[in-house]
Amino acid sequence: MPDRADKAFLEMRRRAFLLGGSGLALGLVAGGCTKLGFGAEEAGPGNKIGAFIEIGNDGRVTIVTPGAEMGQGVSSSLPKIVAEELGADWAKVEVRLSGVDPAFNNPRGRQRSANSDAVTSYYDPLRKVGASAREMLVAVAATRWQVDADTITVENGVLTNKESGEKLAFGDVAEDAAKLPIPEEPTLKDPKNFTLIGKTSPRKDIPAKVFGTTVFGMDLVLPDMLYAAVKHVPVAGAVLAGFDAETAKGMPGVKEIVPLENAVAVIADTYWQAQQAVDTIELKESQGERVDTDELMKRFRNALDDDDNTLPFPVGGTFDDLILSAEQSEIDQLLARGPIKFEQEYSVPYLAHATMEPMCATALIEADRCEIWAPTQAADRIPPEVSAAIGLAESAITVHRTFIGGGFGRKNERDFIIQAALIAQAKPGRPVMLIWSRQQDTQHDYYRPATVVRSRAALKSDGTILAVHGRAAGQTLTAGVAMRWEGFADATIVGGMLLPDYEMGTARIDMVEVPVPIRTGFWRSVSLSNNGFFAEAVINDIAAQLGRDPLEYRLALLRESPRAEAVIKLAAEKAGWGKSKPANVGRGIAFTHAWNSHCAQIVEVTVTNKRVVVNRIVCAFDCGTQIDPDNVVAQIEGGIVFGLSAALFGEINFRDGAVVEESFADYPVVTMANMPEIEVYMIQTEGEIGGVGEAGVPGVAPALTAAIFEATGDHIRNLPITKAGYEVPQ
Amino acid sequence: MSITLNVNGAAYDIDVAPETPLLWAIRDAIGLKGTKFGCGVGVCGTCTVDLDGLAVRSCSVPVGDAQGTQITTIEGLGDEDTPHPIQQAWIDEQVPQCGYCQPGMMMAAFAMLKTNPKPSDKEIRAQMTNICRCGTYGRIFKALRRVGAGSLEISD
Repeated sequence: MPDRADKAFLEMRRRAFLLGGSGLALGLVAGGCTKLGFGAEEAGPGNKIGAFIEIGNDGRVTIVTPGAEMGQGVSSSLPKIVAEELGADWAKVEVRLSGVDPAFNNPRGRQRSANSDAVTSYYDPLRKVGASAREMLVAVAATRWQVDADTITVENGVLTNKESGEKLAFGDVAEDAAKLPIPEEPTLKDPKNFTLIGKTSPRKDIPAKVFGTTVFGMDLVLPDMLYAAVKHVPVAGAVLAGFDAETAKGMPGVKEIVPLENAVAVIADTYWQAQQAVDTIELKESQGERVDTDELMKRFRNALDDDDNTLPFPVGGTFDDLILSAEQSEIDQLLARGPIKFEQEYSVPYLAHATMEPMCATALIEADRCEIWAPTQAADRIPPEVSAAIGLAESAITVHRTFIGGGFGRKNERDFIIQAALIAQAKPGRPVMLIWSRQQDTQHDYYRPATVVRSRAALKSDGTILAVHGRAAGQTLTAGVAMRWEGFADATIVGGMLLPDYEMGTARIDMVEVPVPIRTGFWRSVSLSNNGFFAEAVINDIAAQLGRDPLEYRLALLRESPRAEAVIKLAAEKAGWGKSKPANVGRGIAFTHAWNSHCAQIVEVTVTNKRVVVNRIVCAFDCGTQIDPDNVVAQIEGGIVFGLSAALFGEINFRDGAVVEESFADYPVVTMANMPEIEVYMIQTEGEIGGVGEAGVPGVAPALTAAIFEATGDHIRNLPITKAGYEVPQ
Repeated sequence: MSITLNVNGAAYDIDVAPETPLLWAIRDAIGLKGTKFGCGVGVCGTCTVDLDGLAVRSCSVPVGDAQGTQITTIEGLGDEDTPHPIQQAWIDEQVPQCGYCQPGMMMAAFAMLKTNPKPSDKEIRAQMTNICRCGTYGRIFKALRRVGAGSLEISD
């Protein structure tokens, strides 16, 4: 390569590291299973104050984030919690992705980013981390000044002796502080004195993302690196039963053909060469069931009648004090009595995650060790699972985390990472970067499962719900098997089907499980991605049946819940609910209560000759404490767009066992062409802290279908809306 | 085969088959990783670069066809020391979330703003067809309006 490229490339990599890259350049690696914390590489000699903080003698503060940065901002929000208690000058703090180590586990023993729980689970522990470090720095200053610790204030990286006015910078005391034991129970700041938490500040990862220097999964360069592409057996549930790679073998750059259990991979000098070669390979698959979407949905609908094979699910309460579902016989009796009866069926399709960054991972296998580089949400699962796959001890496996080009739950899975390790076994001593094509990514996802639901209710004429039964039929979550509760339906499918926020009388939730060989997994908002629609569409439809305004009806149904009431009323006020509008404009409302956050959304549409324009989505959101208000807004905006894409367009179809869709061309998503105005209004209930990353998703679909109903009189109960013959500008 | 590419004002002699997509020549043969792979079939726009003043999807241009052209990638748009007004607007509006689509998004904006410095929302909707799965479109509108309002010269 010419000199200029070398220089530019190395400069780019230096910046990537300083601006938050994970320190992958040139084999100088950060993070390992056996180390607590790790070296400060190019930042100069950093004094490690515990696993999360380094302070250079020059005062430069580096804080690591244990979270997986996939756009939700954990590379800023989690370090900011530390910086608040530490008293650092946040504008000058540098952040890095941590390594993979139990030191970085959340209180539930996991180092993984999912379930909207990064801030809620790390908040208290990280406050302690920052506070401990602060006390260590103060202790050094106290000794030097011969004063008590409480004579010293800490602000913006400076320690001040209140009595004498003397000052010491962090850099002056860090080396000595690093030698001290870490206090177990430090004193935390009074939140009234927070200067960072609750205030918007620029995200630390954004400049690199704007200059193109962030290191994502495919961006690393390692010595002697090879590349791999893969072709999976297209039929869901089938395994490889033979293949013909004769053409591939002779193609330029090809080094190895690697058969796997359900795929064949090609290793070559470049990704492009590997992909060209793997495209020529013909696969034979094992015989067996070949799923078809139409047939599956029919099977699911029939299963709704299978009273003998249901699994119930709790309808409320807490983990320690569950409120169980009523028995089938009791519910049937109550439903038969009415006096007003409600019964409807709804369905949602399989959905793909469609992250912008396709699946990719790099593995280096040597006789006694393995290194993995991956854009992963669940780094802690990689060592045990790769160990099981390749036969090396867990402690011999080092994992490096890159920035992630979109996760949404897909990169919580390790299939593509284990695959990279298995493929790299064919070329020991050389790093192999596996990249999936968009087609493979679309067709070998862990899909959000399709489900059909039948909801029945007994109502009084005043709208009181006396009894309600929500039954789901469909498959369970492949990726959630380990989480199943014995004797109960799959929480990842039925959780949230009835909202305990509403007074619902006697309630039952159950599911009939239909075994299907499709691989399914966690999709942003998980069970609420389907039940947000089912639960709120039912409320909207009951309101319609009774001739009640959906806003007024919801408020009437709500049990005592100031937070729920506040977001619903605020959204209604900001959306101008009830204000006059043209006849072909409709507004719909939906409510979400999950992850200890409350969210109300109103979608407004204009429908002309079955052409739907989503004008505006107004959202009122309460997650309590916000680490960074603007980032919270951004996450809600993003969650809303994610939910809207699914509601308007999203469907993955199977024909003859294989997924039909291949790319964004046939799996469309929201673009600038159909992007609505989105307004987010925040409420910050004191003393609460809730999740944000998924909260914007569930309410969009039911609010959208209710809006279309108001504009047209047409009930859409099967998503996406384009299935019902509606068009959306693209 | 030896091909000469002109990228960000510098000449690179690279050894790649001429049918190799320009995207992979830029990323692997030259080593500029800012241009990203999103779909490889010209649909998502993540791989957008400026080629002789036009936004092109580099996954769909054979590198052989790009000889003799002037290519600008995100690295050539601006950097930490001299950010391009588009990049500054992206920072000011805090546009990126995961950030993977944004280099392509900014290069598409770059091409659009050169011929149409103050696009209407309708024009933006029609011309900015790049996909963002994090849903940053609202902030992209704001950033583009900010650049337009700045009346800054969008020059190569």
